Amino acid sequence: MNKTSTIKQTRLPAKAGVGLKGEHYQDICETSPDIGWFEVHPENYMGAGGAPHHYLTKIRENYPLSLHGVGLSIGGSLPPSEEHLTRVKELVDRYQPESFSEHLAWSSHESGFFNDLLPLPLTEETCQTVSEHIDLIQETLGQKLLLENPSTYVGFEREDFTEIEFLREIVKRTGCGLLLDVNNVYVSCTNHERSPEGYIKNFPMEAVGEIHLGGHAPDEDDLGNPLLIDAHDRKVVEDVWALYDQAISQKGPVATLIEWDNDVPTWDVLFSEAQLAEEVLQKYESQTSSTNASGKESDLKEPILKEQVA
Amino acid sequence: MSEWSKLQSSVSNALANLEVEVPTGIKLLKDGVVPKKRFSVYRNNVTLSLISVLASTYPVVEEIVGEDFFATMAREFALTHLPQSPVMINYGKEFPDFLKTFAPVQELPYLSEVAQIEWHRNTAYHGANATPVTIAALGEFSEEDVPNLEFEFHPTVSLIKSKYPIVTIWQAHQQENPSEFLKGLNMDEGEAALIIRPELDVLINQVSMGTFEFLQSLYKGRSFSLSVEQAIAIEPSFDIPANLAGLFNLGAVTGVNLVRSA
Repeated sequence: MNKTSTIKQTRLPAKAGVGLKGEHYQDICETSPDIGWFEVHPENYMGAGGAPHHYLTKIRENYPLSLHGVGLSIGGSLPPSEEHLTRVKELVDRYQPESFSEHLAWSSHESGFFNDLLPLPLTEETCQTVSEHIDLIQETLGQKLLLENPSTYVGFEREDFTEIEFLREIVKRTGCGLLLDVNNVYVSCTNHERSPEGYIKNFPMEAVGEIHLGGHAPDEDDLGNPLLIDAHDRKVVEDVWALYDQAISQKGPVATLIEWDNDVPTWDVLFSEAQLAEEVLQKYESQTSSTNASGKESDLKEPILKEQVA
Repeated sequence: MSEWSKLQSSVSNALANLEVEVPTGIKLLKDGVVPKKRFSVYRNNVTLSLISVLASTYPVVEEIVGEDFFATMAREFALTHLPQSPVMINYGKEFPDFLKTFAPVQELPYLSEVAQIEWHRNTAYHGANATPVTIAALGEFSEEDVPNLEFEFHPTVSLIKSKYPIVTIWQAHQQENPSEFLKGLNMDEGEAALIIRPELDVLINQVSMGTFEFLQSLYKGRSFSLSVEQAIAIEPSFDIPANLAGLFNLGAVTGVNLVRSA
């Protein structure tokens, strides 16, 4: 089932990037900031023309790009919509992104699209359907998919896998990579009373092609226990920075995104948040080089393939 | 039907129907407590995100009725009109029609038509790019051919007419203090507009009723002479050169073709 031989495997630079927001188009075009890369939701660029394509085209000329889908509903029982997959394919062909990622979640069912990333039980059955959906997407796009670990607020009565076991199995079956969202780790582990450090420690870092960092909102559940909500509307908290440091110490430097989708701040605030991630990357960049120099094995085993520019 | 498919259907149903209980299959909390509050995070995400999509497409409607009431109205719409695709820039087309029948806003009969301006503005913003021609394109035809010319319009053009002053209302809500701007407005005076996005910005251009008839006739593919007749029928002082110049200056025409007389 592993068809990665025909799949393009480009990679984002091991630098900090940010989610591209319409509010910042002009700042970016006017100042050409020193930032590693940008990420967009392809769903926001599915109009025929106008400002979104105008600015994305300009920005893409100067920066690496990641398309981060929210609409393929990989975790659903139904296959991804053929129509939607075609639209994504058109954008992949047009913008030739270094990376394409999606979520271990579902967003559509028979009655429609819910505009949220909804949870699925991790069972033998869903492991099979998720694998089939990823196979279809990778074959259609001709590009490797990075699958993101979710933020969840509820669990299911019957599950066959832990999240990490499930993700490992999906990687094995489909050859896809993983997008490690460190904020989601913190949110889900807090919500389900698990250890976020333990989660990061056991995460299959060899499959990680990108990391996400973002802010969350604190709340309480029905029993008065902490319930964190993945809101992407504020700065990254200290605990998440600490987990990120742990992840990079295990993995080595890898493309890292600041995700800030709601209550979008000024460009300067977003940029300085990305600088904090860049500092962590550089700290481990120098350590990695000194480790390599001393002859120890590096964590970075995969060759970095250069992007094919059309 | 597979086990997951069945469970997914009941979760879907519970997301869009607030009276429906948390579905069986969702893990209970300690001591068998049903995680109502936890499940409601998903319900809130679904409704709040759709309300936010509608608010960004319909900011003037939101300003007219106020943020809280807009949220109530948009929630009602969202729960009965779930998106049928993940492309949120296309979501909310039916919202103006929904406003026509939504009982609490019946004393604002213009609201639905102001919403129409906002919907057309949204579609123009994301519409296809095209290169307009200048008025010089007319010079390629002899004088006797001009009556038989047909015009091709920019793909982002739309035309809208109302028996209420909807363009003035829309414009007022682009100002700091709309009520100041709207003082003394005659609510029985109808207005029309041509909406277009020639470059990156959408323009909402108020036009006279004569111009509206002229443009709508041309837009439907009728000839220049027939369209002028329609305009003059309702606006005897209709100024042909000024209207032609205005139309080309906006970048609204992408081609002019001679159609041999029918």
